[in-house]
Amino acid sequence: MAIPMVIAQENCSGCLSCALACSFFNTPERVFNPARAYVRIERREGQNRFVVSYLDECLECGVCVERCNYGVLADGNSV
Amino acid sequence: MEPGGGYAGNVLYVDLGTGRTRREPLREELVKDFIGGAGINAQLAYEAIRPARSPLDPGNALVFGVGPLVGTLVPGAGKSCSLAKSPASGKIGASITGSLASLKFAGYDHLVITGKAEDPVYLEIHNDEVRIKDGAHLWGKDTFGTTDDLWGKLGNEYTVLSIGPAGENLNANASIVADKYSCFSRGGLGSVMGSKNLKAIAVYGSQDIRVAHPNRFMKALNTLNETFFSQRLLKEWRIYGTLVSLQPMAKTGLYPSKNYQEAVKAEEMIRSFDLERFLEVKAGDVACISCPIGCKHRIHVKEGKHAGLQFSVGCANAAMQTWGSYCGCMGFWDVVFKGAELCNRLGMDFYDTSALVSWAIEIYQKGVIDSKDTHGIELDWGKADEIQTLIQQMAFRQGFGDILANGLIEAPKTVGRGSEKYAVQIKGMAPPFDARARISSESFSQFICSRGGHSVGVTVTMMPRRPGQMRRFAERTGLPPEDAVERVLTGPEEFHPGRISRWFEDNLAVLDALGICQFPPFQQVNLSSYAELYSALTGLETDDQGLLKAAEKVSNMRKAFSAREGLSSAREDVPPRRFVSEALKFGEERRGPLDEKYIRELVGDYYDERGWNPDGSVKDDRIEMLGLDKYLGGA
Repeated sequence: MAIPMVIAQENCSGCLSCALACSFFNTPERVFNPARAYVRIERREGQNRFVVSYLDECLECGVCVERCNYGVLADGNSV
Repeated sequence: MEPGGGYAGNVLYVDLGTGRTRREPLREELVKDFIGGAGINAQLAYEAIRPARSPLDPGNALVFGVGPLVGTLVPGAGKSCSLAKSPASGKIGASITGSLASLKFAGYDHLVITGKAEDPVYLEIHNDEVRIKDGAHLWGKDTFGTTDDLWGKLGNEYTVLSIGPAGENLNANASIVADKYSCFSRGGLGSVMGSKNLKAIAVYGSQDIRVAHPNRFMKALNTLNETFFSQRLLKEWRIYGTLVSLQPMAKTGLYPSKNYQEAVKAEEMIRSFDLERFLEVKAGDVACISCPIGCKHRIHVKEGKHAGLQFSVGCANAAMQTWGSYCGCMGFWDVVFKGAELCNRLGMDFYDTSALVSWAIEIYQKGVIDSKDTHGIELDWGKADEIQTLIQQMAFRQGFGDILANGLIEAPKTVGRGSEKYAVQIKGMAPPFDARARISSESFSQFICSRGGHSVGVTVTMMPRRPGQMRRFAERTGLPPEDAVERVLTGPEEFHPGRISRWFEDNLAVLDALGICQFPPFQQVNLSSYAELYSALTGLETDDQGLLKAAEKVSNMRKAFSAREGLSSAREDVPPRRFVSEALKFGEERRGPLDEKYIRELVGDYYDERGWNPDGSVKDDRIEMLGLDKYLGGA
């Protein structure tokens, strides 16, 4: 198990890989759908910067951390 | 069709003339023949567009497509494609960007917009709810203002495609801008939206993208990722985005300057646009969905005249090339990015806009026009303020900008006085690569590209390669196929520019149809890997040859589209006059002019590799062999 932590929100590029992975690995039908992910990427109004947050339902499986290529997320166990 | 996965399975039709919208199932035969994305776009556009009318006539259609891999975790699977009859060329106009995955999540693979609204409108798509809404309050706003307005009204989660003043004013070089930075840039498609009184399209969706065989898909993805993430230069791509090509492009003479009279000397280009100074204005990266590279950047200029400028740029290399080297503004990252920001705001293509500005400066400098023509603006290379004024005048059709806004074919006709010979264009579009510097697939394919002066794609031939490297690339990627290797990988640089362009065009057509980015790291992946991912995702079995066969059909559909619009390959698949009549000054060197006879031979060899007639027309039996006659009817 991993504890996803947002360590560098300013690096988020908005690629949604974390949300795509979360939905795929955590839905019983294994679908891609950021709207069903436990990690949320929201655009800050007025610019292409993003806010990363987790819903309370997050399963702490860590797939979001594995798929982040921008150094935004880390496993809290190893930080 | 009822898809096993990957596809949403629907096409959304919007008739702005009647105000009716309808959803139709994506036809299975289109999937089998053209895969999706830009591939199926070609057929839908052929079907929806009423031929032989002005691109600004309501009979033109604007088609968007999102390929089957988009919305999944496949790296680079974020590309969406647009197609219409181009106001720049009068032929097929196709452009690609990375911001429309939301259409798939809303439940549609394609969007076909026809007709013309009586008054300005915008289109809102939220899953099954599709509304044509009053857009009067948006008309006149730039793309930033329009996007902010719709984000405020509908929510930040929406993708907003909008046009700026250039699209409203029907500029031949108008773009469609997504989320303020990601552009369907080339071919003037923004003015097709403008001609329809369609100011913006806002899309959000929350529907599932299913996977036919999840375990097989994830296994194929892990295999692909192993290869993908072991590539050299990936870190540099991450940091510098498209600017990673600065040094090799500069050394090859690929930064045209002063309306293609010269190429900037390599050392001057590298010194002027110092990458460490670029990092001072780069504030972060922006990525298309599912992209591990993030080649787009957030820019924040902190010093100088444009201090405080903040925006996101899609292709920094194109910005540097156009608002830097083309226009002689060397050494000023802030000027480069101010030009780019203006184009994003006003909704204008970097390349054609800067080529029009460069043409205007040259004819001013040569005395063909004077300050009476330009309404008092004194034009010269490197005069950034005047250049930026001209960009704005073009967008709003003021002063001399009103003439320039008609594009690289019509503006020289209007000015006359011999100005035509200085216009550098292929089918109405400015070529990014000067073939006099070096003949590669990039620079050559601009002559035969059905959509005009644009390379069919940046490929491995863009830089000179070491002996044997082309063969190793072919072994790794499967391109060209084994039975074509001997005739294609030949010559002093170990590739035939004409013949290899067919195979790269087909390769890129596969990527465009699947929804994969064309950037080099994604081209390094063997087509078999993409075929396996496609099969696992959709449940429709295919292989590399199946993908290439579909690409061949796409290419022939596009050709048929342009032929229906009067394309004469013999007359139009040719280099700009400057390329065959003047040498390119590159430092102390003089390169070219191009040998017209040699270029004609290369073009003929490209046709031959395609199985076309020597005059570039498509043989009837080839259309039948490819099974396209059912779409083309009596065309």
